[in-house]
Amino acid sequence: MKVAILGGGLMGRLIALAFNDLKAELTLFEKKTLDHKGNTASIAAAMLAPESESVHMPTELLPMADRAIERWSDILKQLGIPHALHRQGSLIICHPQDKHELTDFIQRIPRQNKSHPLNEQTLYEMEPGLAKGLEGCLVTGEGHLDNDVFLERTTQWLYEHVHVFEKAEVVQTFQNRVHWLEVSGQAKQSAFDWIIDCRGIGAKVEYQSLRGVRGEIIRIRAPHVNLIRPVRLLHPRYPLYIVPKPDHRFVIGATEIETESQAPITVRSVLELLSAAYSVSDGFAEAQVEAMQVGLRPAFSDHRPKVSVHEQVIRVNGLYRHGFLLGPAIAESVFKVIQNPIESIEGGYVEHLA
Amino acid sequence: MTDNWHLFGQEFTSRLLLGTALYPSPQVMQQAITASGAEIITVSLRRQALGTEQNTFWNMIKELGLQLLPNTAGCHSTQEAVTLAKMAREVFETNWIKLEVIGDDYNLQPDPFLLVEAADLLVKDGFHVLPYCTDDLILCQRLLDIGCEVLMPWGAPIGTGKGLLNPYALEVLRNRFPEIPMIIDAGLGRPSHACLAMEMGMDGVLLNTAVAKAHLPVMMARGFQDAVKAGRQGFLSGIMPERALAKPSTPTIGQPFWKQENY
Repeated sequence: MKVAILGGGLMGRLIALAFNDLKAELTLFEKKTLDHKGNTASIAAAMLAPESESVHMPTELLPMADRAIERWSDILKQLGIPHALHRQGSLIICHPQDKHELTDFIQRIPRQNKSHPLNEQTLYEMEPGLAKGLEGCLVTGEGHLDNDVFLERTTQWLYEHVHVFEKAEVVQTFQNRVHWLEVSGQAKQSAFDWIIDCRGIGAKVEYQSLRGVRGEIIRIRAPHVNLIRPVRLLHPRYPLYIVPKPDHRFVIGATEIETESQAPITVRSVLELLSAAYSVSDGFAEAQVEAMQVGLRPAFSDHRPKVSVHEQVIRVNGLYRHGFLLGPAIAESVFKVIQNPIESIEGGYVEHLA
Repeated sequence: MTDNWHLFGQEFTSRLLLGTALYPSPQVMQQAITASGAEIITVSLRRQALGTEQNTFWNMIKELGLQLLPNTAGCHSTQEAVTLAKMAREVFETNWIKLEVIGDDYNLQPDPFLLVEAADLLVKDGFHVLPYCTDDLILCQRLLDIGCEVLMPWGAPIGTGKGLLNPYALEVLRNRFPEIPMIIDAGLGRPSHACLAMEMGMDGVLLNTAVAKAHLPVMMARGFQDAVKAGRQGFLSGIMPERALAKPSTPTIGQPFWKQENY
């Protein structure tokens, strides 16, 4: 079976991994290069936080998120990088004057037994890298993964197991054929049994209601700060998260702005993100800023991911903030569609396929 | 009896104005706005205006087919507010503008001096200015003097949900400017806050956070719609005066004697 995967981002990689057992002949088309640092999967903080994301995610997707987190464990083992998964829970914190934000947040956690309140002392004991005077709660079962490690490893894996066309821009799919432009400008086409389109915002032309939601993040290296869990700071105006990465690196994010502009990060966003981070740990004052990045989260109007099937073309899109949180479960759904072909699903919700 | 009202020559049925920010998703936003019955919706463009010509989110708002009221949220200077208003006029093809000039970053209190300055420039430029202002009588008088036709005093600082912090000041404004459309903007957290504002005789209320951040925004939008209607009907129908002495609604036949409090 010949399968074309369009897009070498997170979803394209997860689908390639899911199809490995099928012994299919896989071909992957990526507009840039697999090691490009500007794609959404690379910019993302890669949190696995189904409870904490409930504000942004319909609760019906929770079982899918649970399944995805379990799948991550298998996937990373399969890739030989089990240490890239961290599941010590995540922390929700606030300054004392914003305690009402914490109360509101905890009320919205769907599975209340996952939330454990922490006072100033217990919070400090759990994460001594945090400033004193904060309050919060621990959300168990959550975690994060080292996406850079995952992306590096899967780049290598793809080169070994898949026909990879880099700098190949897919211009259209017609019936079972992929038409693409090579970097030389030469137009090419080829036929496949299945075409799986995972181009994210790059496939916008295929949808009426897909939009990009701008997110800005800052990557820093802070040798004096030790955090082992993702931390969300609740604030009426400047909410943010800080996600630890290997070697004292941290991702501070993320703004959420309704625009598809990919212009560089604004001064306002930098000030907001860094000053809020500094209020969480003054050790960040001496951190080195390594990158400031802008990405677009592909989202539909209901903020649910969708899998649509039309003849031999399967389109996966709209993962919004939840690529890492839901991705492996969506890849499984796509795999099931191919095993038990469905004639057509127009904009179907993935939970119906699962 | 029809109770429609008019703003800048346009007739409206609903007296609830709703914002378009902070909803869990654009779909919920659309559903909440529809459920609220709002005919005027505010839209912010400050941070979104980063240079892209097409903005899918704005298109979703436009598709609702309602009167758009762009705002200048987050502006701290006259020039900033005027520039943003002009940008909004082009983007949303309307000369309506909800003018906000923030004077304090902590409680987002309007700067009354710069507000009048910016409103003056915008009115002269042909804008229909709806100024977000405090409940200060003199400030409101100045805004009317320079040509504003509507007043939008706050109930409380933006996003606090504290309701009507100074009912006395709002009543003074209502009594002094009975013919001026007056919309309570900001600080309303509960449907009862909206109801109280309408009972006072305000022409409308404008809110965003209370609906968008509710656990069930669509239901809350309906709640506010009902509250606004209840308050308006209360105002129109004549609210009974408060009395110190209890007055039974059932006739007290057989009790012929004058009763007084015992001292």
